[in-house]
Amino acid sequence: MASRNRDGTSMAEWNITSNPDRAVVLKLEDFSFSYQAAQPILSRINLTIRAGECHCLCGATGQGKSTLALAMKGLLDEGTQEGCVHNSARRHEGDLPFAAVGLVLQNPETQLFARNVGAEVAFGLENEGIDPAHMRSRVESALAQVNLNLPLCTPVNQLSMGQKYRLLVASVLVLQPQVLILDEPVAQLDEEGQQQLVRVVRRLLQQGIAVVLCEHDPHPFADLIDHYWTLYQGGRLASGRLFGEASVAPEREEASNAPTSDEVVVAAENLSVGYGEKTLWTGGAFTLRCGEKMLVCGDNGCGKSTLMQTLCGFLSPRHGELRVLGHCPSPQLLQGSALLLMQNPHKQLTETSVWEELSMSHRLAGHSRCDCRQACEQVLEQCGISHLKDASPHQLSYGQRHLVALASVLVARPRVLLMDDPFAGLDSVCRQRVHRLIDQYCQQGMAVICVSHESGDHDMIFDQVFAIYGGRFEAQER
Amino acid sequence: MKSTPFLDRLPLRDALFLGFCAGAIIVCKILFRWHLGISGHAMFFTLIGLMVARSCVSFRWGATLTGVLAGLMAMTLGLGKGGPLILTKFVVPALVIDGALLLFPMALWSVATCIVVALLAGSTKFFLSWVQGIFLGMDSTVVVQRAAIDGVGSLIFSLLAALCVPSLLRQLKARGVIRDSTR
Repeated sequence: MASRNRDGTSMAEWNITSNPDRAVVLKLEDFSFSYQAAQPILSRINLTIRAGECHCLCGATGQGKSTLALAMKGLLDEGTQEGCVHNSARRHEGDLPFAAVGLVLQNPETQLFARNVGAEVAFGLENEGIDPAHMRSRVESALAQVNLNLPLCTPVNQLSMGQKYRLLVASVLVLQPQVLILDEPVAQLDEEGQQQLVRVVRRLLQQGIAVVLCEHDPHPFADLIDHYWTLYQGGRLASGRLFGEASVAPEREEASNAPTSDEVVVAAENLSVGYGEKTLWTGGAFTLRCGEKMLVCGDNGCGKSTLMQTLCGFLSPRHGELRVLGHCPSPQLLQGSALLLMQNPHKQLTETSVWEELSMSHRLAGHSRCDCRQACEQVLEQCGISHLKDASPHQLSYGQRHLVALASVLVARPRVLLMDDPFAGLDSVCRQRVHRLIDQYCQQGMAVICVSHESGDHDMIFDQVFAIYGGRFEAQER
Repeated sequence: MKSTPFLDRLPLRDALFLGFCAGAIIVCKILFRWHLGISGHAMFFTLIGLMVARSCVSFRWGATLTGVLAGLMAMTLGLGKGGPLILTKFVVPALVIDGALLLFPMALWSVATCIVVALLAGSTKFFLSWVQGIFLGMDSTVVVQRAAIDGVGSLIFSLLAALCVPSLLRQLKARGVIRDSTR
């Protein structure tokens, strides 16, 4: 049943199965929050979450979903707050407020701090004073729930982003929360990881645990979600979900629209990549010409980011031959001509404002200072972040930071652009924009190599698609 | 009118940050024990630590508290040549910084005013060296010459510290360490 809200916005069907007999575990009453005066992020939010319910918070990139998640965990200590958050979930007598609420943040690297997998999951148990004799079995059980079958001594810094996300889910599940909040779970997990998480969420709901998902694209969880909520500009929360929020498949561009030249910019023959003593995959063979777009898909931890680091020259190929712009890749030789958009945008943003970030990138690429202003304004406009030019890139949402990082590499106009999971954390509108930008810059001669854990709809716009599966790098049928 | 208790004006997070700054001053002092023969080079790290500490918390005696902590640590570890008097090497410049910021709260955000504050704090080295010489019973001419050499060295390194602090504060503000309410 489609309905319309007061603004006339079309809403998708949502299942009203709220059972008033179930205990309320979390309640926000007229809750408002702003980081800066006169700029409310959340405005008069009323939300009641009962045991065993699954709620999904939707909304555009940077609209305040993560802030609302932090509020529900009781972690907002800055800014101006009004109203209140009632947390009545308790696991046992004497439980601290909000201790029964588990939150997994969107960017796993902000939440991880232990050196190895076992210590990370056990940390919460140590804080709870659990007998060490019982810890190992609980840690292993939590890791098994998220299908992270790794030795407990595995260093955390060797894990991929998706594996780090699973690790965090395990470290929250091990504490047996009554409310589980997952911020953008689909963005970081491959298909198998998503299905695994769906099974975990289903089981938790059956056990009477409430689950809140903050997600642009919640389709893997669609069967489980009881209520959809959408955050609008100005921090208003409305029941239901916009149709436009759903992921929209990009249209396939005609081959003639993307002119390519014969100049080979990246060539690999019998390539194997890995790090340390470990080889992640073998058999890489591809040729990329000016103006071409290439997509490499694969599951979490299969070696996609390692490929990016090898292409930049940060890692040496294990075997085979690799040429980027005619050279064996090395950061010095490729400076300014081959740039990497990192998977975690936080790692490549250094300046105090978005404008300075772009200016510095333009300057470092060796372009004339005279056209810096025009180039920066143009790229900000193309990325749809002109309104953020004076903001600090370090305090933006994950999706917004991703767009800023993208703008900072585009403004340098490299000949080869390497993009490590550029669609993570972006809503459908921003994804469309990134698709258009890739296409637009390729028409101007830029070559793009993109890696992603979701093949989904993205392969429609790429000229070549490869997959890493079972330790082999293979071309995909189109 | 009821006054706010001292500890209520210094939240735990701010207190920990001041302790971190004091520790950083001492660690830098230990790690960079250059035998350069240049007087006053320790003032570079001391002033950066004290000015950053004061700027990141709203507690108005933040630099002084950091100076006391750093002085106590230095005394305990037996750093420097002053014995218990080493406390004054940290506390006196800190008092100057706190005093200056009471009058001009935004002084450390501009390079020009930050240089003025740093030079005022750095100049205390002259008086401390002079007092130390008097206590040691040195000849007055030697005391003044020694204090002048120490003072000039200290002023040079204070100037260098002042050039770093405003950009450091801007970076900290961009990352949310310094909030508008703190400023």
